[in-house]
Amino acid sequence: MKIASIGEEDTIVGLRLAGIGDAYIASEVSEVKAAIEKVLQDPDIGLLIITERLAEKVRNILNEIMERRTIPTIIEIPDRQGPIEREVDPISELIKRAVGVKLK
Amino acid sequence: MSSEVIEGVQATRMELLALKIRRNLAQKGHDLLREKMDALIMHFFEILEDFDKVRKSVQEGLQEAFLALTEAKMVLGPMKIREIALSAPHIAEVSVQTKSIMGVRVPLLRFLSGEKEEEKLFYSFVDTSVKLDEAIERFRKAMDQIVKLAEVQGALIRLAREISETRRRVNALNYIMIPRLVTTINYIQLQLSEQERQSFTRLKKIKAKLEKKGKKLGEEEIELTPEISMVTELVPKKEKE
Repeated sequence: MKIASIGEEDTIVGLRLAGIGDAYIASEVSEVKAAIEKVLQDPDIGLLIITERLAEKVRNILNEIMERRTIPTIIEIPDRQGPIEREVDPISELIKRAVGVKLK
Repeated sequence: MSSEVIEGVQATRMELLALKIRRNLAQKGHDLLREKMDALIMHFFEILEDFDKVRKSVQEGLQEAFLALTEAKMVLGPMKIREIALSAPHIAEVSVQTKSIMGVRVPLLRFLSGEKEEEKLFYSFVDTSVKLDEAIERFRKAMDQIVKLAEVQGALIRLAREISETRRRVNALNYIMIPRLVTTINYIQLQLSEQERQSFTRLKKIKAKLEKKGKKLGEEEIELTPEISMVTELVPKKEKE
Protein backbone atom coordinates (compact mmCIF):
# COMPACT_ATOMS: atom_id res chain seq x y z
CA MET A 1 0.00 0.00 0.00
CA LYS A 2 1.02 3.57 -0.49
CA ILE A 3 2.21 6.01 2.08
CA ALA A 4 0.99 9.59 2.21
CA SER A 5 2.42 12.47 4.16
CA ILE A 6 1.39 15.95 5.13
CA GLY A 7 3.89 18.36 6.56
CA GLU A 8 5.80 21.55 6.16
CA GLU A 9 8.29 21.91 3.38
CA ASP A 10 11.41 20.34 4.87
CA THR A 11 9.66 17.24 6.06
CA ILE A 12 8.01 16.74 2.72
CA VAL A 13 11.25 17.23 0.78
CA GLY A 14 12.93 14.66 2.99
CA LEU A 15 10.13 12.14 2.69
CA ARG A 16 9.89 12.67 -1.06
CA LEU A 17 13.61 11.87 -1.27
CA ALA A 18 12.89 8.63 0.58
CA GLY A 19 10.44 7.78 -2.19
CA ILE A 20 7.06 8.68 -0.76
CA GLY A 21 4.64 9.60 -3.52
CA ASP A 22 1.65 11.32 -2.01
CA ALA A 23 3.33 14.12 -0.15
CA TYR A 24 1.48 17.36 0.52
CA ILE A 25 3.06 20.56 1.71
CA ALA A 26 0.71 22.34 4.06
CA SER A 27 0.85 24.93 6.76
CA GLU A 28 -2.64 26.43 7.07
CA VAL A 29 -5.53 24.51 8.58
CA SER A 30 -7.47 24.67 5.31
CA GLU A 31 -4.53 23.22 3.39
CA VAL A 32 -4.18 20.40 5.87
CA LYS A 33 -7.89 19.66 5.66
CA ALA A 34 -7.80 19.58 1.87
CA ALA A 35 -4.80 17.26 1.93
CA ILE A 36 -6.49 14.90 4.40
CA GLU A 37 -9.56 14.88 2.19
CA LYS A 38 -7.46 13.83 -0.78
CA VAL A 39 -5.69 11.14 1.20
CA LEU A 40 -8.97 9.67 2.43
CA GLN A 41 -10.28 9.40 -1.10
CA ASP A 42 -7.47 7.06 -2.11
CA PRO A 43 -8.22 3.60 -0.72
CA ASP A 44 -4.73 2.41 -1.54
CA ILE A 45 -3.10 4.62 1.06
CA GLY A 46 -2.30 2.54 4.10
CA LEU A 47 -0.32 4.97 6.17
CA LEU A 48 -0.60 8.71 6.66
CA ILE A 49 2.35 10.54 8.12
CA ILE A 50 1.61 13.98 9.51
CA THR A 51 3.80 16.30 11.51
CA GLU A 52 2.82 16.82 15.12
CA ARG A 53 2.47 20.57 14.70
CA LEU A 54 -0.07 20.20 11.91
CA ALA A 55 -1.81 17.28 13.59
CA GLU A 56 -2.41 19.46 16.62
CA LYS A 57 -4.35 21.91 14.41
CA VAL A 58 -6.74 19.29 13.09
CA ARG A 59 -6.90 17.08 16.17
CA ASN A 60 -10.68 16.66 15.95
CA ILE A 61 -10.63 15.46 12.38
CA LEU A 62 -7.84 13.00 13.07
CA ASN A 63 -9.64 11.59 16.10
CA GLU A 64 -12.74 11.14 14.05
CA ILE A 65 -10.85 9.32 11.31
CA MET A 66 -9.16 7.05 13.83
CA GLU A 67 -12.52 6.31 15.36
CA ARG A 68 -14.19 5.44 12.08
CA ARG A 69 -11.54 3.82 9.94
CA THR A 70 -8.80 1.28 10.43
CA ILE A 71 -7.09 2.39 7.24
CA PRO A 72 -5.16 4.60 6.86
CA THR A 73 -3.15 4.36 10.04
CA ILE A 74 -2.22 7.85 11.11
CA ILE A 75 1.19 8.45 12.55
CA GLU A 76 2.53 11.70 13.90
CA ILE A 77 6.18 12.60 13.62
CA PRO A 78 8.12 15.58 14.91
CA ASP A 79 9.18 18.12 12.30
CA ARG A 80 12.61 19.66 12.02
CA GLN A 81 12.13 21.73 15.14
CA GLY A 82 11.81 18.57 17.15
CA PRO A 83 8.93 17.17 19.17
CA ILE A 84 6.44 19.70 20.50
CA GLU A 85 5.29 20.10 24.07
CA ARG A 86 1.67 19.14 24.38
CA GLU A 87 -0.82 19.56 27.14
CA VAL A 88 -2.23 16.12 26.54
CA ASP A 89 -0.16 13.54 24.77
CA PRO A 90 -2.68 11.48 22.78
CA ILE A 91 -0.91 8.25 23.64
CA SER A 92 -0.68 8.73 27.38
CA GLU A 93 -4.31 9.82 27.26
CA LEU A 94 -5.09 6.54 25.56
CA ILE A 95 -3.20 4.60 28.21
CA LYS A 96 -5.00 6.42 30.97
CA ARG A 97 -8.34 5.48 29.48
CA ALA A 98 -7.39 1.86 28.81
CA VAL A 99 -5.57 0.87 31.93
CA GLY A 100 -6.96 3.42 34.33
CA VAL A 101 -3.59 4.62 35.57
CA LYS A 102 -1.58 7.60 34.52
CA LEU A 103 1.97 6.90 33.56
CA LYS A 104 4.92 9.27 33.79
CA MET B 1 -24.28 -2.56 47.70
CA SER B 2 -27.70 -4.05 47.38
CA SER B 3 -29.13 -4.59 43.97
CA GLU B 4 -32.58 -5.10 42.67
CA VAL B 5 -34.38 -8.34 42.22
CA ILE B 6 -34.84 -9.15 38.56
CA GLU B 7 -38.36 -8.16 37.63
CA GLY B 8 -40.99 -10.65 36.63
CA VAL B 9 -39.54 -13.75 38.26
CA GLN B 10 -41.82 -16.29 39.80
CA ALA B 11 -40.85 -17.77 43.11
CA THR B 12 -40.72 -21.36 41.98
CA ARG B 13 -38.15 -24.07 42.28
CA MET B 14 -37.80 -24.23 38.49
CA GLU B 15 -36.93 -20.58 38.37
CA LEU B 16 -34.52 -20.99 41.25
CA LEU B 17 -32.65 -23.76 39.46
CA ALA B 18 -32.51 -21.80 36.23
CA LEU B 19 -31.18 -18.75 38.10
CA LYS B 20 -28.53 -20.78 39.86
CA ILE B 21 -27.31 -22.08 36.52
CA ARG B 22 -27.26 -18.54 35.18
CA ARG B 23 -25.32 -17.32 38.19
CA ASN B 24 -22.69 -20.02 37.77
CA LEU B 25 -22.40 -19.21 34.11
CA ALA B 26 -22.05 -15.51 34.82
CA GLN B 27 -19.40 -16.24 37.42
CA LYS B 28 -17.47 -18.42 35.00
CA GLY B 29 -17.73 -15.78 32.28
CA HIS B 30 -16.56 -13.14 34.69
CA ASP B 31 -13.51 -15.16 35.72
CA LEU B 32 -12.59 -15.85 32.12
CA LEU B 33 -12.95 -12.23 31.07
CA ARG B 34 -10.89 -11.14 34.03
CA GLU B 35 -8.10 -13.46 32.99
CA LYS B 36 -8.34 -12.18 29.44
CA MET B 37 -8.11 -8.60 30.66
CA ASP B 38 -5.04 -9.32 32.78
CA ALA B 39 -3.33 -10.96 29.82
CA LEU B 40 -4.27 -8.05 27.56
CA ILE B 41 -2.88 -5.53 30.01
CA MET B 42 0.35 -7.50 30.22
CA HIS B 43 0.70 -7.42 26.44
CA PHE B 44 -0.24 -3.76 26.44
CA PHE B 45 2.63 -2.85 28.72
CA GLU B 46 5.07 -4.94 26.73
CA ILE B 47 4.10 -3.09 23.58
CA LEU B 48 4.16 0.21 25.42
CA GLU B 49 7.83 -0.34 26.23
CA ASP B 50 8.53 -0.97 22.54
CA PHE B 51 6.56 2.11 21.67
CA ASP B 52 8.64 4.39 23.86
CA LYS B 53 11.83 2.97 22.38
CA VAL B 54 10.70 3.30 18.79
CA ARG B 55 9.34 6.80 19.38
CA LYS B 56 12.71 7.87 20.67
CA SER B 57 14.55 6.35 17.74
CA VAL B 58 12.14 8.05 15.32
CA GLN B 59 12.87 11.39 16.93
CA GLU B 60 16.61 10.83 16.82
CA GLY B 61 16.53 9.41 13.31
CA LEU B 62 14.56 12.36 12.00
CA GLN B 63 16.80 14.85 13.71
CA GLU B 64 19.81 13.30 11.99
CA ALA B 65 17.97 13.19 8.69
CA PHE B 66 17.04 16.87 8.89
CA LEU B 67 20.59 17.72 9.74
CA ALA B 68 21.85 15.84 6.70
CA LEU B 69 19.20 17.52 4.58
CA THR B 70 20.33 20.94 5.75
CA GLU B 71 23.89 20.07 4.88
CA ALA B 72 22.84 18.91 1.44
CA LYS B 73 20.91 22.14 1.02
CA MET B 74 23.99 24.13 1.91
CA VAL B 75 26.03 22.36 -0.70
CA LEU B 76 23.51 22.18 -3.53
CA GLY B 77 21.09 24.97 -2.71
CA PRO B 78 17.48 24.57 -1.65
CA MET B 79 16.12 24.91 -5.18
CA LYS B 80 18.16 22.03 -6.50
CA ILE B 81 17.17 19.81 -3.59
CA ARG B 82 13.51 20.59 -4.10
CA GLU B 83 13.84 19.82 -7.76
CA ILE B 84 15.41 16.45 -7.04
CA ALA B 85 12.78 15.72 -4.42
CA LEU B 86 10.00 16.41 -6.92
CA SER B 87 11.57 14.13 -9.48
CA ALA B 88 12.06 11.28 -7.04
CA PRO B 89 10.19 8.16 -8.14
CA HIS B 90 7.24 7.06 -6.01
CA ILE B 91 8.72 3.79 -4.95
CA ALA B 92 8.17 3.69 -1.21
CA GLU B 93 5.38 1.42 -0.10
CA VAL B 94 4.22 -0.22 3.03
CA SER B 95 3.10 -3.81 3.25
CA VAL B 96 0.10 -4.28 5.49
CA GLN B 97 -0.68 -7.55 7.18
CA THR B 98 -2.36 -8.36 10.42
CA LYS B 99 -1.50 -10.59 13.28
CA SER B 100 -3.50 -11.49 16.30
CA ILE B 101 -2.67 -10.81 19.92
CA MET B 102 -5.16 -12.59 22.20
CA GLY B 103 -7.72 -12.45 19.43
CA VAL B 104 -7.17 -8.74 18.81
CA ARG B 105 -6.16 -8.06 15.25
CA VAL B 106 -3.21 -5.71 15.09
CA PRO B 107 -1.46 -4.40 11.99
CA LEU B 108 1.89 -5.72 10.84
CA LEU B 109 3.62 -3.08 8.72
CA ARG B 110 6.82 -3.27 6.78
CA PHE B 111 8.48 -0.39 4.95
CA LEU B 112 9.47 -1.17 1.39
CA SER B 113 11.83 1.44 0.04
CA GLY B 114 11.67 0.15 -3.50
CA GLU B 115 12.75 -3.22 -4.80
CA LYS B 116 15.28 -2.34 -7.42
CA GLU B 117 18.54 -0.68 -6.54
CA GLU B 118 18.52 1.20 -9.84
CA GLU B 119 15.24 2.87 -8.95
CA LYS B 120 16.75 4.31 -5.84
CA LEU B 121 19.39 6.10 -7.87
CA PHE B 122 17.22 8.64 -9.55
CA TYR B 123 19.53 11.63 -9.56
CA SER B 124 22.75 12.30 -11.34
CA PHE B 125 25.93 11.88 -9.38
CA VAL B 126 27.76 14.40 -11.47
CA ASP B 127 26.04 17.52 -10.23
CA THR B 128 25.04 16.39 -6.73
CA SER B 129 26.97 15.83 -3.57
CA VAL B 130 27.58 12.94 -1.26
CA LYS B 131 25.65 14.94 1.31
CA LEU B 132 22.52 14.29 -0.69
CA ASP B 133 23.15 10.57 -0.69
CA GLU B 134 23.55 10.74 3.03
CA ALA B 135 20.35 12.70 3.55
CA ILE B 136 18.38 10.25 1.44
CA GLU B 137 19.83 7.28 3.27
CA ARG B 138 18.98 8.87 6.61
CA PHE B 139 15.42 9.59 5.56
CA ARG B 140 14.97 6.01 4.40
CA LYS B 141 16.19 4.78 7.74
CA ALA B 142 13.89 7.21 9.54
CA MET B 143 10.98 5.96 7.42
CA ASP B 144 11.74 2.44 8.49
CA GLN B 145 11.43 3.52 12.09
CA ILE B 146 8.32 5.60 11.40
CA VAL B 147 6.58 2.60 9.88
CA LYS B 148 7.60 0.53 12.87
CA LEU B 149 6.18 3.21 15.12
CA ALA B 150 2.93 3.11 13.17
CA GLU B 151 2.74 -0.63 13.68
CA VAL B 152 3.33 -0.41 17.41
CA GLN B 153 0.95 2.50 17.80
CA GLY B 154 -1.74 0.62 15.90
CA ALA B 155 -1.31 -2.35 18.19
CA LEU B 156 -1.48 -0.10 21.26
CA ILE B 157 -4.67 1.61 20.14
CA ARG B 158 -6.43 -1.61 19.28
CA LEU B 159 -5.34 -3.29 22.50
CA ALA B 160 -6.44 -0.29 24.51
CA ARG B 161 -9.88 -0.46 22.91
CA GLU B 162 -10.13 -4.16 23.61
CA ILE B 163 -9.07 -3.62 27.21
CA SER B 164 -11.68 -0.98 27.91
CA GLU B 165 -14.32 -3.10 26.20
CA THR B 166 -13.36 -6.12 28.30
CA ARG B 167 -13.25 -4.03 31.44
CA ARG B 168 -16.74 -2.79 30.74
CA ARG B 169 -18.01 -6.33 30.43
CA VAL B 170 -16.18 -7.53 33.53
CA ASN B 171 -17.64 -4.68 35.52
CA ALA B 172 -21.12 -5.23 34.16
CA LEU B 173 -20.98 -8.84 35.24
CA ASN B 174 -19.30 -8.14 38.54
CA TYR B 175 -21.33 -5.17 39.72
CA ILE B 176 -24.70 -5.62 38.07
CA MET B 177 -25.39 -9.04 36.63
CA ILE B 178 -24.04 -11.27 39.38
CA PRO B 179 -25.35 -9.26 42.38
CA ARG B 180 -28.73 -9.14 40.72
CA LEU B 181 -28.81 -12.87 40.19
CA VAL B 182 -27.68 -13.44 43.77
CA THR B 183 -30.36 -11.19 45.27
CA THR B 184 -33.00 -12.80 43.10
CA ILE B 185 -31.89 -16.25 44.20
CA ASN B 186 -32.04 -15.17 47.84
CA TYR B 187 -35.44 -13.64 47.28
CA ILE B 188 -36.82 -16.82 45.75
CA GLN B 189 -35.34 -18.93 48.51
CA LEU B 190 -36.97 -16.69 51.11
CA GLN B 191 -40.26 -16.81 49.30
CA LEU B 192 -40.14 -20.57 49.00
CA SER B 193 -39.37 -21.16 52.67
CA GLU B 194 -42.05 -18.65 53.58
CA GLN B 195 -44.53 -20.59 51.46
CA GLU B 196 -43.38 -23.78 53.10
CA ARG B 197 -43.92 -22.38 56.58
CA GLN B 198 -47.34 -21.11 55.60
CA SER B 199 -48.51 -24.40 54.25
CA PHE B 200 -46.97 -26.20 57.20
CA THR B 201 -48.92 -24.16 59.74
CA ARG B 202 -52.01 -24.47 57.64
CA LEU B 203 -51.68 -28.24 57.60
CA LYS B 204 -51.12 -28.35 61.34
CA LYS B 205 -54.20 -26.25 61.93
CA ILE B 206 -56.26 -28.47 59.69
CA LYS B 207 -54.98 -31.53 61.44
CA ALA B 208 -55.83 -30.08 64.84
CA LYS B 209 -59.32 -29.18 63.68
CA LEU B 210 -59.87 -32.61 62.27
CA GLU B 211 -58.73 -34.27 65.49
CA LYS B 212 -61.05 -32.06 67.54
CA LYS B 213 -63.89 -32.91 65.25
CA GLY B 214 -63.03 -36.58 65.52
CA LYS B 215 -63.11 -36.48 69.37
CA LYS B 216 -66.40 -34.63 69.42
CA LEU B 217 -67.98 -37.27 67.30
CA GLY B 218 -66.72 -39.95 69.67
CA GLU B 219 -65.79 -43.18 68.04
CA GLU B 220 -67.42 -42.16 64.87
CA GLU B 221 -64.98 -42.46 61.99
CA ILE B 222 -64.25 -39.46 59.88
CA GLU B 223 -64.51 -40.12 56.30
CA LEU B 224 -60.95 -39.98 54.92
CA THR B 225 -61.11 -37.89 51.86
CA PRO B 226 -57.89 -37.91 49.82
CA GLU B 227 -57.02 -34.40 51.06
CA ILE B 228 -57.25 -35.34 54.68
CA SER B 229 -55.16 -38.45 54.30
CA MET B 230 -52.56 -36.36 52.60
CA VAL B 231 -52.54 -33.95 55.50
CA THR B 232 -52.15 -36.64 58.10
CA GLU B 233 -49.33 -38.14 56.18
CA LEU B 234 -47.57 -34.88 55.65
CA VAL B 235 -47.61 -33.37 59.08
CA PRO B 236 -45.68 -35.91 61.14
CA LYS B 237 -43.08 -36.15 58.44
CA LYS B 238 -42.55 -32.39 58.61
CA GLU B 239 -42.14 -32.48 62.36
CA LYS B 240 -39.27 -34.88 62.15
CA GLU B 241 -37.21 -32.54 59.96
